[in-house]
Amino acid sequence: MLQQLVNGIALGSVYALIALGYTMVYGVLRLINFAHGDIYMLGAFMAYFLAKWMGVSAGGSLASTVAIFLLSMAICAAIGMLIERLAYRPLRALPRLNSLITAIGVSLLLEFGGQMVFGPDFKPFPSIIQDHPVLVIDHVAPPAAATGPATTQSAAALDVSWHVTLNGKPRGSFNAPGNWGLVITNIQIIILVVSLFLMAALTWIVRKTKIGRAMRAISYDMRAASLMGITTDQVIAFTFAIGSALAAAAGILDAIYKPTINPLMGVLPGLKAFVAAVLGGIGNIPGAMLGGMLMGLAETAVVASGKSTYRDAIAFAILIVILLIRPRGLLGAVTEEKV
Amino acid sequence: MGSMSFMRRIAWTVGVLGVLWGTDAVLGKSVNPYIYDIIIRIGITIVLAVSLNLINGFTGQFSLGHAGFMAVGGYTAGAITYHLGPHWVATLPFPAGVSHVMVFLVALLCGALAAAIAGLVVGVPSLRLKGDYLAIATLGFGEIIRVMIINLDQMLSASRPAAERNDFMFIGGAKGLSGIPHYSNFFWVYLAGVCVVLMVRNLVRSSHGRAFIAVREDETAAGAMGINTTRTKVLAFVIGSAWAGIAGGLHGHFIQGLYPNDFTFLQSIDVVVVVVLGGTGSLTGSVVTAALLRIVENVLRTLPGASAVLYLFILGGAWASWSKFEGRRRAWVIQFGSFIIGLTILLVLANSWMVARIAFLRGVLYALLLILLMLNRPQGLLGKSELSFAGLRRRLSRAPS
Repeated sequence: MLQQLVNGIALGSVYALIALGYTMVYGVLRLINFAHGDIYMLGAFMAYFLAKWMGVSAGGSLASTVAIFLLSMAICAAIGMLIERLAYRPLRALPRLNSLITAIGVSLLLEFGGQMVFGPDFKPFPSIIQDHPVLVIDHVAPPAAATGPATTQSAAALDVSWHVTLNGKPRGSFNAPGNWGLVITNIQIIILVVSLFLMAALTWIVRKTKIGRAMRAISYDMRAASLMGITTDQVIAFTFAIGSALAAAAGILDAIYKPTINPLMGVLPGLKAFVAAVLGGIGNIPGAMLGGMLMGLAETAVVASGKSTYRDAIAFAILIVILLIRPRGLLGAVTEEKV
Repeated sequence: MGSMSFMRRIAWTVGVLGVLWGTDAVLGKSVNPYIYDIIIRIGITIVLAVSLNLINGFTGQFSLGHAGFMAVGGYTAGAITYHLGPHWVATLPFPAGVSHVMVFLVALLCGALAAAIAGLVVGVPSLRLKGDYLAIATLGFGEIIRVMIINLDQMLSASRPAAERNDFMFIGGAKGLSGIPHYSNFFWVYLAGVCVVLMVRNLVRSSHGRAFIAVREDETAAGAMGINTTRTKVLAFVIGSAWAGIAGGLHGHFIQGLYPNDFTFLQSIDVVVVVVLGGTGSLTGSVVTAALLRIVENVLRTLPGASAVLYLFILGGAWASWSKFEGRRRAWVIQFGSFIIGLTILLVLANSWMVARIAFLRGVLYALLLILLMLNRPQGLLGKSELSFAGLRRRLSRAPS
């Protein structure tokens, strides 16, 4: 139970990072950027090639890991801006469904292009961060009971003794009924910390900087914003850059966690992160974080209950329920329809 | 054609049936199976695209879940012919040939009914949404339908004793249902094609159909004029889904199997692409694009074909942008000349690399085609207009002046 919570939070952080890009782009352009999930894939592949090129195979230094992260994020930011410039900007004046179809086209282009250039197979991702358990809670059955005939009783029903190990050192124990078994790896912690850091940075940019204010203004009313002297094209390009960088970071984190990558790895996380954005209230940044976390937890809960064939359906079920009950999402603002 | 007398209608019907029957007989004997396969796939794509055009084109809704309804219809029809068909053929008091046809038609109609019901169940809640929200909700429903199909056998067999559970087979789950009889042929597929085109054409010319178009043009205004917009949208959705179900049945009885992976999001996108490229709201556009897309797709199977399409892309782009480069002819020559030279060098240098990856190259070109057409001709090939002989004649007579 505890373990599922931890796994769910790690998965949810990744979804939240991708969802932020969806929600920001939707906020300024009202466009579902279908290609966003594929930017996430590109981020992982960029990191893969950078790690190979830099010769980082197992547990590289902190500097090389950070360099891989920053470079991949920068490359993906550039790709995101390029896509916006070439595929979305020319269609901005036309009905939104045209951009939606172009977005689907870009997504297909990146998926097939990825399979063509990178090869369609799964690739092992180099462990640029060495995986090791940080916090372990496990239980050892009492020696007396272990030899006795009464051990067939399930551990969960008894008061068992749980041992806490932190960084390889025993840190005491406690007695409790139920299943408290838990392994938290450093990668899970890194995923959470990096995601929280990036979300905090994004919140700061959007709330406190000039360009963030411009983004909010455009999201409120693009025409009025441009009349007020905001260079909308630049701000929109910047929005794509930030969103793509976040997706790239999510892709690398997920690649380290899994640790395999393939050119279609972005399809389902992309769709699920979009659902997460809708769940939290699309266009709303804290909403995307909340939605991502909830999505990760829900999916882990489905897998933990032994119904893993339904893991991809749960996202869509959540989507449909939320669209029917509360289309503006958990934290979304009500938008009036103007006639 | 306007209103026709009863006798002329009969004559037309007999004529169309006769032409289909005759073509079927000729094609079955004279055409190689590879071409025949493409022709059938074109027909199935026409049924899918025209039915989606009713929803996306004429009613202005945006469904991304057509493959889901295709799956519902296909699996219903397939399960009927697979599980009940042999029994019915054995017991019906008709010659075997007639019994097979009856089984097939009953299966297709049940498939259409099941898909229509699915369309109603999905449409009533989701058509409250608009635009991209509707698109993503229908996408979600499509995927849910697929996951349910994969899990249906497991759900049905859960209550049975463990020994029987492994042998239980209703629709085959993730492995798919293979061994469906080969009933679909040119006659049935194109009869469905003719029927769906006529039905949608007549529908949009009726007062119901004008309601569809009114909802597309301005939903609020249509509502104010007394049109029940929800009912209109759901009706379009249900009819479109029913035809998607028939297309699913035709598909299953042609490839003699139903596999959940044939009904993914990509299949829905494929139909949307046909409708959008043909022009949302143009029936002939859908028909022509269905044929073009399936043919181009097959041309792209080999590198020479793919290279030819690439060169055509560049030449087409050059032709289309001729007027944009007014006064900059040299830039035009340099740009498109360098494209052609670059492509030629690439084809020479990376030939074997590309041959090995032709399947993905095909996907890349498909995506590029979609993006470039959207950027350059967002209204689709035909926009909202239709191809017709009368229009062609008008054009030809106007041409000399």
